[in-house]
Amino acid sequence: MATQASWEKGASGTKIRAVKRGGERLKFMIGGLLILGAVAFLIVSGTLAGAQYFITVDDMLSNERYAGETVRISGVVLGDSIRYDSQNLVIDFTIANIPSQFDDLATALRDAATDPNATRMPVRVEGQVKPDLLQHEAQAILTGSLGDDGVFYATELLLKCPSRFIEGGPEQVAAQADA
Amino acid sequence: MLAEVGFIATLLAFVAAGYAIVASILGARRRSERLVLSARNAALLVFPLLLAASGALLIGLTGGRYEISYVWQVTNPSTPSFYRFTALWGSQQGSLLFWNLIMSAFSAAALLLNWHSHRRLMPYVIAYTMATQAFFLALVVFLENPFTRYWATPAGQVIESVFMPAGARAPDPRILAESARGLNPLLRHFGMIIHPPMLYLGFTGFVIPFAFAMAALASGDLSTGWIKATRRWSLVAWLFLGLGLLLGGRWAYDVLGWGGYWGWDPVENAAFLPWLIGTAFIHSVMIQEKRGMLKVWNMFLVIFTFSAVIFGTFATRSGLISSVHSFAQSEIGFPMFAFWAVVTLVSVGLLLWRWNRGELRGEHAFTSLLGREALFVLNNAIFIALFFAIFWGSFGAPILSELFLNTNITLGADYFLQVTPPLFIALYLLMGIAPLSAWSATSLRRLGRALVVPALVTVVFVVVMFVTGTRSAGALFGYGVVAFAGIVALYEIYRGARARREGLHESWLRAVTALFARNRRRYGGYIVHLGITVIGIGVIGSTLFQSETQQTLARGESLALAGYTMRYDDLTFATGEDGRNMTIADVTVSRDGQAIDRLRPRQDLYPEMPMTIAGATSPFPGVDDFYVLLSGWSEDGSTATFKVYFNPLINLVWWGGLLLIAGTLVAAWKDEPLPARASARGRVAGSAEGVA
Repeated sequence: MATQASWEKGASGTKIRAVKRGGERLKFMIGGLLILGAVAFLIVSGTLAGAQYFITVDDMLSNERYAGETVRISGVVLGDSIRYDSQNLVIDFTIANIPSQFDDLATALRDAATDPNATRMPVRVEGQVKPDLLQHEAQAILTGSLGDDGVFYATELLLKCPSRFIEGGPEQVAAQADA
Repeated sequence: MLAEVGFIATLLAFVAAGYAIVASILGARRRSERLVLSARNAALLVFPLLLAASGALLIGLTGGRYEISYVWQVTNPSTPSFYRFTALWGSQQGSLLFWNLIMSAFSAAALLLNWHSHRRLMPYVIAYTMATQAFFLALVVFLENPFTRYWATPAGQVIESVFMPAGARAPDPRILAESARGLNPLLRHFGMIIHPPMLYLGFTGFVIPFAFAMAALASGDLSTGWIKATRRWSLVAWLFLGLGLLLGGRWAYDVLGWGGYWGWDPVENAAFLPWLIGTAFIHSVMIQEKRGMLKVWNMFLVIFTFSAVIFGTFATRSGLISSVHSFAQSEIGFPMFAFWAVVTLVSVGLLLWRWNRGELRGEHAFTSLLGREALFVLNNAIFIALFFAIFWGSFGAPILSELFLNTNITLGADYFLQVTPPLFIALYLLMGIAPLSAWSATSLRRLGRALVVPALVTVVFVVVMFVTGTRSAGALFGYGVVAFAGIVALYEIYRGARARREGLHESWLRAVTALFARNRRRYGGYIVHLGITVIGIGVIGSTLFQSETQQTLARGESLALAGYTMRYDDLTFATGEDGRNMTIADVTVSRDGQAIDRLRPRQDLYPEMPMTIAGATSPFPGVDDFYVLLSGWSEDGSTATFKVYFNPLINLVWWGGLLLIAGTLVAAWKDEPLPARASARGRVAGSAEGVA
């Protein structure tokens, strides 16, 4: 923007302009810094207020620091354990640990659901209609905290079931027919 | 045959796009008209080829050709023909092909419509559009092929391949048909049918402004030519993206059954991000056109709009982030990430190179903090701040914490509800003030005078809200700020019409229509502002004043919520066209003893998938919505359990959306041709600019 000043005619004019432009520039810079500061403050304070650990069932049960904290937790739903009281809108089910490293989510979910040694944790969700996707081998992502009774009280329940729609083909059916 | 035709057409389209890139770049460098024309013809060929490929897949879908794996996965014999058609974008492979089809349509249209007017830019426009196209086609051809078929090997296994492997034979079509899976029930909704195409139109549409901007940088023709050429393309893409977002919200509201429409889910945010930068872009290009300023900034915005589009596509399709939308975990994640990084780095590098050479210098300097230019820049700053805040919350924090803190930190809806409202408030304030300020400089006093009437009307509006029952100070403040922006838009239209009426003695109707006809962009823009205001009021009302209850009712019993009563009348069972089993409750909603509406909340059970959908309610008269979910029932229907939400003002969100469409269409409509002499002079000036 300094180059703009030299476009003005006459040496004295240039000087006056340059000073004025300098003042304008300072104003813009201060304004910009104020905005930047305000936005940074918003984001930092929001992050501090809204941050939640996103952990596995193993993390939850093996580490003291998560007890009583609001966390997000991921686990696989065990279909047999789902109990839904439609009168009072209480959903109870159990989730099992999904290892944090895996190649393919669908396989990891299936393995976790069938592994008898996987850590399990009971979950309760209150005040919600049973979601459509709550079913065996679905991945549940829960927000809430662990109660003293060892039950995880979730206020938010997000479900994914990749295995239903994406994976697999007609192998079994066709193979059976061939036999 | 069908699968072969589809696959070969896609492959040819890929080859044509690749050829067009090479020929256009060579043609531009060697100044060979023949090569450039040949590149153009190849680029124009991509669209019909993809039309043929999509047509082949559609025939497969509608004709029940279950040997094609995609058809097997998204349809089954009980799928109604309507959903067979929309299954084209029901899953990853098909939707990628469809995405390519739309993108090729945009490229072809841009090449045909802008060929003569912006001849110098065209070779590079071809190169950039076709490079993007070739990348997405490569995904279809090599990684996510919708045309693979099932084959039975002699060993009794079933494998997938486009062409028949040696020794294999086609599986029994009857068995394939019986086992076919069908469209995900969540996607069987009006909003889901139109939402993806709208979003794709919005996403792919931004390739045109991007390609023109890059063409300007590559060719060195840095006049406003690229902006003039792409103004309408940007508006069209922006409109479709906005519509896609609104329809997605509507789908979530109707189908997902949690009483809301926007959950700050990372994938929703991924589609919102390009909209935010795109909005900044369509505002700040006006400054460049009118004042020759912000040239680097506009390039930066168009690059990052497109970069956000690619990032959004990547985030949606790669399963990067846990979300309800991650409908596909797949191998295209890495290539898409690499493409995104390359596109962004190359474009920014090109921009920095031109900038460094001093070719993008502004023609004017900022003179006043209150001038319209400065306010537009402020508007841009807020949009970018929103962009960063949302990007950080959805992607930055989770990814960085995983990389560097060895833990995974996510930011929930709380974060967004705390960070974004102040920024939105700032945007609405600017939306109100900027139209009243003058170009280059406005004194505080002049601006103050212009503000008097709209400010008074706003005060009246807030008082009316107070008298009609809104008592929360925060809500009144929010309503006031949001309404102010819309009131200014209406006031500006009124002022313009009044001036015509007094100067030209026109009737009000004639004055308003003439006003719009003479300056479509400006007054269309005001209608858009009005739409955004209406949406804002709906968002505030439905967010702050939602109330809910859940109760089990015996037949004939009622529950009360927000001054309404809802009576449970009856329970019936029915079977849908696609084989779903529906349990439907009949309820009557009344107010002050008068029945207002009968609603039929229901639950659908899909036999082919263990999945139920708690359908929400029919449209409710007025601006508020009474949202009823049927959550359970006794077998004889003597009792039923409901979850009920009362969402005040929520319908304004959808009505505002309609205003948004109307306003954008007005702004994007072709201007009336200038009188012959003026346009001739314009052309001479334009070509002189091009030579210089």
